[in-house]
Amino acid sequence: MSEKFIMVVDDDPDLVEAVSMKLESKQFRVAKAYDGEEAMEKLKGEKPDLVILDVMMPRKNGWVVCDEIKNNDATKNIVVVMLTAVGDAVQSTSYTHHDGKTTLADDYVPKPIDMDKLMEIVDDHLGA
Amino acid sequence: MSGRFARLYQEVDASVNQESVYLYRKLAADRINIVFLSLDFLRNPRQITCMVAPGAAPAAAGQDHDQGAAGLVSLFPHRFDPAAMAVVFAALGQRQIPWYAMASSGSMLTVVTDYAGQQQAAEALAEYIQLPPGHGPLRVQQDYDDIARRLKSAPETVAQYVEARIRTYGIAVKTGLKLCRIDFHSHEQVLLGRALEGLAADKAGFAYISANRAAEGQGHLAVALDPGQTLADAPDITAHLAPALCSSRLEIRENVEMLCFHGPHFGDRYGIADKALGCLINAGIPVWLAGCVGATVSIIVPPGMAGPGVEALSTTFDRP
Repeated sequence: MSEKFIMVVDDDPDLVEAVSMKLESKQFRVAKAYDGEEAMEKLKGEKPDLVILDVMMPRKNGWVVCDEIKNNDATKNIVVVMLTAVGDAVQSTSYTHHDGKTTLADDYVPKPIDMDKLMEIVDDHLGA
Repeated sequence: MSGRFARLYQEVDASVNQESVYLYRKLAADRINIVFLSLDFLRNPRQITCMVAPGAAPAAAGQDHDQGAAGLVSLFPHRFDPAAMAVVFAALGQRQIPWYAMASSGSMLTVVTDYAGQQQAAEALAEYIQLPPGHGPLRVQQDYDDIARRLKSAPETVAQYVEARIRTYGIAVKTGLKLCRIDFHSHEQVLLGRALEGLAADKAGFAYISANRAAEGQGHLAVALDPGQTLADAPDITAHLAPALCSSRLEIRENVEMLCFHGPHFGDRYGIADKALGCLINAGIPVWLAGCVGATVSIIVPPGMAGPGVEALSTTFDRP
């Protein structure tokens, strides 16, 4: 049984629930957060092995959260998988520019999520 | 809490019903997104509550639709625990905060309130629950930054999703449900909340909840319970509700079934409800209750109808 711990961060509660249920069915432990600030607050506690992180969220967007995770010695080893529809939907915004130039995320999954693909990516990074 | 929406409410006399008059059909024809829908066809007149963007309302609503500035307050995750609805009835009933409709999704229990009453409703609910550390502030309007706000309302949710077949994350079926429909008066809400706490104490699980408040304080609550999740020796639901309500106002239907599906950005796309309900109605499958909350569509159908329902939905919705 895997003991890996994953945090799911998205402002769509139904998506958080769907992804969490899938992860729990694969024996991962799961924490949930519904915006960037809440995620950062929870990261002060038990550190997850991997964070599944939406881009467009209220209070603090996913790119900022990712940068804060990766620029902090306490959290920089956490694997960050970004969920993004931005690249497909919008050709020229500061989101896409940010995406291409500066993000420190470990992987990307486009929205709408292919749940099996997401699980493959999680397994690849965590060696589950 | 949401921003400002327009609440549209429609009653349709089933005896002279024509499907084309349904509000969700008109909204789909006008390409207007429904951010919340609660539909109750169990009794006559049939009731439909929709929430739409305020600017869209005048074009979509005819004179037969009530309108009001309203907002949505969502409690999540409910984990299918009746304690969530117990909190809503107790908190809003105690403070006598007006609400108009509620419905559940896979994780949320969403309540329609007056726009001006959202803050008060959220604060009342917060007194009954433990919010997580770092939770979002209890304030109206989601505080997206400028770019996110633009993307949430434009290309990501409109241009991206014109699909001949609508993608979903799968269609779930629940069978053997016990559907309880309870009529109540607004002054009975707190008592009803306590009765629902009893259900929660028995570890009962619900599959779907919807409620509507009509004029003059009358309302009804529909709860589809999953008996398989209730303690084996738990009292029947009637035992819990008897102290709160006259039994003549409790109607139970056994072996009810439910279709439930969730798709990318369903909450931001017009026509989803119309296509889903249209698939079923065209296939001759009666719809008893339906809700569109967040990105989830939930539909309660009579016994034996979920299987054919999946087939009907599959003509329009993709299943992975």
